[in-house]
Amino acid sequence: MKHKILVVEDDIDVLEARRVVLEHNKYEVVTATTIEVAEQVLEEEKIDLILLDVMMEKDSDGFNFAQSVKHSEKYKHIPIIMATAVSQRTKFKFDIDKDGDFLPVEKFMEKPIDPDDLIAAIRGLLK
Amino acid sequence: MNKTKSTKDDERVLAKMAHDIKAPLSAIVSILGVIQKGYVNDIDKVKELVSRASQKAVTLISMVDDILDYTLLANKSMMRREKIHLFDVFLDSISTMKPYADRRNITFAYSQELCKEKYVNGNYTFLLRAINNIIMNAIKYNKENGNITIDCQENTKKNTITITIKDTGIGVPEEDLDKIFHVFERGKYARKNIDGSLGLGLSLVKQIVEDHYGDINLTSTVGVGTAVALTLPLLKEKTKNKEG
Repeated sequence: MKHKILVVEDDIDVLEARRVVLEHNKYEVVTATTIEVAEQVLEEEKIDLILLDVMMEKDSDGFNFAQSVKHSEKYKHIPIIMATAVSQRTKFKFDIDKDGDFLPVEKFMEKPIDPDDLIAAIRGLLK
Repeated sequence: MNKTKSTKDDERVLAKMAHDIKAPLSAIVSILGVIQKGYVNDIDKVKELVSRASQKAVTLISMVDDILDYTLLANKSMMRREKIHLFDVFLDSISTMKPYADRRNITFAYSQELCKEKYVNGNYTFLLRAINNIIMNAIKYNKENGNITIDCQENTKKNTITITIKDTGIGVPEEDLDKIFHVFERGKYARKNIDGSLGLGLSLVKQIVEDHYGDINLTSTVGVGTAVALTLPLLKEKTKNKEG
């Protein structure tokens, strides 16, 4: 059975680029351009992995969504890859070993994400 | 050493600019990367993705144009002034903006005599830019099938002309009216960056109008529309063709 990936991204062009790459690799893709839609998708569908853009309309939207997923008994098992453009803006480099407690996502990736790297990361998390 | 307010403001503007420019650039790299790495073979899909990347590049050019204009305006000595027929500025602006309005089925209403034989001492490119920016906002934040009304009223006592551009759009909440002319500010209902612009539009307009010794006034009702009124001093007959 195909793994189902929820892509949360507010730029519809980037969303389409992600969809092409994921579908090429035989993943089923569900998309959300807002956090509200993402929350609705989580309730209605069985999601295997979330690819989350952290810089939504408000900077904190993506972080808050990741926190709520990881604090939910129902969803905390779903791995999250967080796509960030934050480090260049804030000079804050995420480190999964140091920041994992603060924000327990499985992987951070700096935008723009190389499609090969993205697929490798997803395969690693969905083994 | 404490940073001055203007240094902090400059840093904030630069950081915002860098972030806003990075977003479409990052999208272009993501989209082209998909094609470059061979994730799509269907030629129609390739064309669609290239078209998406191309649109992002157009957005970037528009952002850079805004920055260039803003920089140019900072140096007022570079602004060459001449006798400008406001009628020509409006015809030029409306013909430029009409295709954008047509896409949203928005119609213009104005008199054929709009600002005819009304002259100001100014810079054609910048005045056109100001009018274009106001009309573009009236298109972007209008409702589908909405209207844009343009009107010119002369005040013979003061020898000024007031140009009012009124839309039937989403409006600006009262608490945002003061902020809307600041760099990078958008109204609450316009906060979603629908066109990828930098939010320099109205701050540029204000600066252009002030550099033409004029005033700008914005009145708005949420859900009803916004009216932007520009008042400019008319060119006095005896000072026609004056260079400033």
